[in-house]
Amino acid sequence: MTKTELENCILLYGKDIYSFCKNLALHTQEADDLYQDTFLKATELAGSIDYEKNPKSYLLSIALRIWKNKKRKYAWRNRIAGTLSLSEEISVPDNGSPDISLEGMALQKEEVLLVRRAVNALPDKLRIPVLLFYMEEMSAAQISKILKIPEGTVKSRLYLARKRLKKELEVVLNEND
Amino acid sequence: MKTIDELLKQALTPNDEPDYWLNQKILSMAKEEKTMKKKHLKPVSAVALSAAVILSIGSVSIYAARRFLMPEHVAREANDPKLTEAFQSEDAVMVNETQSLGGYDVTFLGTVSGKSLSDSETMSGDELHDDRTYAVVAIERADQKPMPKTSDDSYGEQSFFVSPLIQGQNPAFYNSFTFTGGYFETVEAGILYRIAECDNMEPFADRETYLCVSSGAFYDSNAYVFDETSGKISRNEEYDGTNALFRLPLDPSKADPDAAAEYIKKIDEEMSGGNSETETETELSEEEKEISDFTEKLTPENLATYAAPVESTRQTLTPDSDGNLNYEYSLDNETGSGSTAMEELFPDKKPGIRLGSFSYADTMESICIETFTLNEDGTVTFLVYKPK
Repeated sequence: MTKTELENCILLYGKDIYSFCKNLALHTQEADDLYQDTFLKATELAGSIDYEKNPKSYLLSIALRIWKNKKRKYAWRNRIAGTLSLSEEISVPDNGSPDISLEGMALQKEEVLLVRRAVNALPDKLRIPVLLFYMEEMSAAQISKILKIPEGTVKSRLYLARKRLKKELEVVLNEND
Repeated sequence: MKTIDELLKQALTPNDEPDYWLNQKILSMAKEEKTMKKKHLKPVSAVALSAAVILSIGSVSIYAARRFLMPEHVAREANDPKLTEAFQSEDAVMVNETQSLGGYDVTFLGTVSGKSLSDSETMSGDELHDDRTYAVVAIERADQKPMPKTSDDSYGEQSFFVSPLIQGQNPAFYNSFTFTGGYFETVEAGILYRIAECDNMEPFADRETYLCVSSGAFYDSNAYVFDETSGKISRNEEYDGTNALFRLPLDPSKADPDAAAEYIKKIDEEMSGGNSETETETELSEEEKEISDFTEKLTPENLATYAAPVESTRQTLTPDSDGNLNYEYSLDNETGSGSTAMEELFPDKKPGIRLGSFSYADTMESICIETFTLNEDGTVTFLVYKPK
C-alpha cells in the first residue's frame, strides 16, 4: 500500500475502523493500538485476501485478526489495570435531529449505553457479526468472507444475537412504543 | 415503535473518531517503514548469468538469460547477513524463470526455506514466526523503461502481489496474508527486486506449490483460476494485467501432511474466531443450539428437504427506484416485513432461489425462512418457508 493509498484509506475508513476497534477492544488505549496496528499491517502487507476489492472489508479483517491474536494480552491487561470502561465515554450518534433537548440527549445517551452494554455482553461468536452488520454495514455475504464461515451461519448468528438482544433490551424497546 | 434493528443501527452507528495525532503517527510510522525499505543498491559486480533455456507454455514465454542480482545480493541489500548466507547455502534453490505478462517481465530468481534464516524477526501478536519461506523475484517493464526508483514519487504506484499458493487451498483465503507474509523491496538498474517471505511452506511439499506475482496490492481472484475439484491453481488467460504463476520448488522430503493440516486448521480458527468459537459454543442454550444447527445447514439446494413453503406468503416483487425489494407478510400469530437490496441477493443476475433472513422465533416451530427467487422476467418471487 502506498502512502497515498494509506492516506485515502484513513480518510475514507478511519472512523469506521476506529469505531470497530473501539468496540472490539472495549478500551481506548487498546483500541488506539489496534487501529494503529491495523493500518500499519495493511501498509506492510504486499497484498491480501480479495474481499471483492473492498478495502473496508480488508481492513476489518486485519483488525479482527490482530485483535484475536492479542485478545489474551488485552484480557490480562484489563485484569491488572482495570482500565476505564468504554461505556462511560460513549458519544451519542447524530440522529439528524437539531432540536434535541439536553434531557433528550441524556436519554438517548442512556439508550445507546444500554444497547452497547448488551451487545458487549454477547459472546464473541454473536457480538462480532452484530458489529460487522450494524456498525460496519457489511452484508451477510461479506461477513461470511471476513469470518470465513458459511453465509447461513452468519444469518443464524445474527438471528440468535437479535433474539437475545430483543429480550435483554425489552425495557428500551417498550419505552419506544 | 422502534424495532430491534433500528435500535441496534442507531446505537452502533460508527461515531468514534480517531485522534488527529494518532493518524499522523500512523502516516509517519508507515513512511518510516517505507523509507527503511527504500534502499539503493550499490553497483554489484557479481551477477547471475544463467544458461539460456527457452520454453513456451501457452502465451507465457519462459527463459532465463538475463543479468539479475542473485537472491543473496538482494538479501545483502536488505542488511540481512543470515538470509544472505541462507541463499548461498545448498538448501537454496535457484529458479531463474521469467514470465512476460501484462507489460512486465517477472523473473522468479530463487527460494530458500527453514528455521532462523533471517536476522529480522517476524512477530504476529506475541508469537514469533521464525520458520519461514523466502522467495526473490525481479520485476521489470517489458518495454525496457526503468521501474521508478525508490526515491521517485511514482514508486509504488504500480504495486504487485507476491505470494506462495498451495494446491487444494483456495488462494483467495490462503495466501501471504494468512501465511503471515511480508516483504523487502529495492530497485537497482531499473529492475525491482522483492524478497517475499511467509511461514514455511515445506510441509506442503507433497502438493503442487506455486508462487504468484500479480498486479495490485491485493490478491485478485480474477488473476487466477482455482479448480475446486483438483485443487490446482492456474493463470486466468483472459486476465488484463500481470498474473505470473511459477512452480515453487520445495524439498519433497520436508513434506509433512500432519503439520500442513494443523497449519491450515490454525489459519481457519484464526479467521473464524479462534478459540472463542469453542469457548462460546457452550454459551448457547439447547434450544438455541438446535435452531442454530438447523439454520446453519440450510442452503437453497436443500431447503425443500428441511422446510415447506407457506403459500399464503407468496408474492411477486419488483425492485423500487433504489433497487430494493420490499415485502410484507402475515402468518397465524405474527407479521413480517422487510427490505433487501436486489443487487445483494442477485449480484450475478442469474435466475434462481436465494435465502433471505430468518425471522425471530422462540422455538423451532416458529422459525420463518424468507426466500427470494429471481424469475426469467426480472421479477422476484418472495415466499416464506417453515421447518417440516
